[in-house]
Amino acid sequence: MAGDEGSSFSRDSMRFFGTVSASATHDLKNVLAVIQENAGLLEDLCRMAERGRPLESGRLMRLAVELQQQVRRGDRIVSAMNRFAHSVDEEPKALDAAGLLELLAVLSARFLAAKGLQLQTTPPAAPASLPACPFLLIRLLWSCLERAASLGCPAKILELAGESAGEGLAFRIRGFAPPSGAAAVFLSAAETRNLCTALGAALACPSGSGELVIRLPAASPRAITRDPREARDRAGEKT
Amino acid sequence: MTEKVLIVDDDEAFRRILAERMRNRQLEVQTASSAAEALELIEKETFDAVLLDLMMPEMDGIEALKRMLEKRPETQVIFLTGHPSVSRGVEAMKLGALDFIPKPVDVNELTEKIRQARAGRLLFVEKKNREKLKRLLGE
Repeated sequence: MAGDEGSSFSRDSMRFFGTVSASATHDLKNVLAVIQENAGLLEDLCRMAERGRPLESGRLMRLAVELQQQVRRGDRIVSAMNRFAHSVDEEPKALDAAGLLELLAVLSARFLAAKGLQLQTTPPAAPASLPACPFLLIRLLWSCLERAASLGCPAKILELAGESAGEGLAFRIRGFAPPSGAAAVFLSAAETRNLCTALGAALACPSGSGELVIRLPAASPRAITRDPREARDRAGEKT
Repeated sequence: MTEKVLIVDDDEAFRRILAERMRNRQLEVQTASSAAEALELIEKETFDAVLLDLMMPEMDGIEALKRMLEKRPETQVIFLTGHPSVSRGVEAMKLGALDFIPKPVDVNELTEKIRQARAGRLLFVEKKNREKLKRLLGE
């Protein structure tokens, strides 16, 4: 890989990390805002009780439930952010497809909601995993979701399903309006092409299926590196 | 007279609880989950203040502000955002927002802002009426 291409890949990686982090922290601010308003409402109710208005236990119970829900919501975001952060600093390992889909659902929720979309994920019927660099795989799936969202989603729902594919894994994205030559449309972005190279992944849009299939082969030297330059070196390719 | 407020936020829990706290302070409150819904409401009704989330699906707060001011130039918009950035704040104020407040908010401070918004709206309407009267009188 040429130096320019390598530094562009690093810049894209940094940009992606920034995008996801900013989105997650924004979501967390919203959670804190709701918790703050709940606490404020409790304070209001106490002050009103001091002035003689009776405290309703049912109302207090609903507030407690709301607080617990918001804490769970915040915990999901922080846990996802923590896993995402470790996707950069941990050595590549066997990735559980179901866990990856769950992580993507949390991380991309705000990004897709901003486009008026929801993501529905379907885990593989049986546990499926693959040794791969989690950061690159998250980036690849995100970039495909982003492109699919830009193509228009009539039902406002994007579906992302994972499945075993021989000894590898496959992910299917549905719910978007695929143009003709859809796979080429997805691969027109240099970032997506580089990520496919790094992971040894192949994209296809079988005609009439209305879906994008992302196939990852069984563990290959390519799949477990973070850097496409290293991936090509391992595969013995000339740059 | 009671101040009338419109809360526009895509977060249902935030919208609902803030509305209840405002009602506890004797304000009249309506809510909208999107900018499009808010634009429909301000065409039908007059609000002393619109509390507007900056980042919302489909249409963000800045675009919503522009359209609100086109429809009703007297609209007093207070941005509430979990994503405070100086540049977005400056942009909002330049476009005519009354204030730009980061979440979580202090409701008492916000209530005071809404009272200021009402005064600002009434002043704007009065000024426009005076200008209209002057034109009618040929001054």
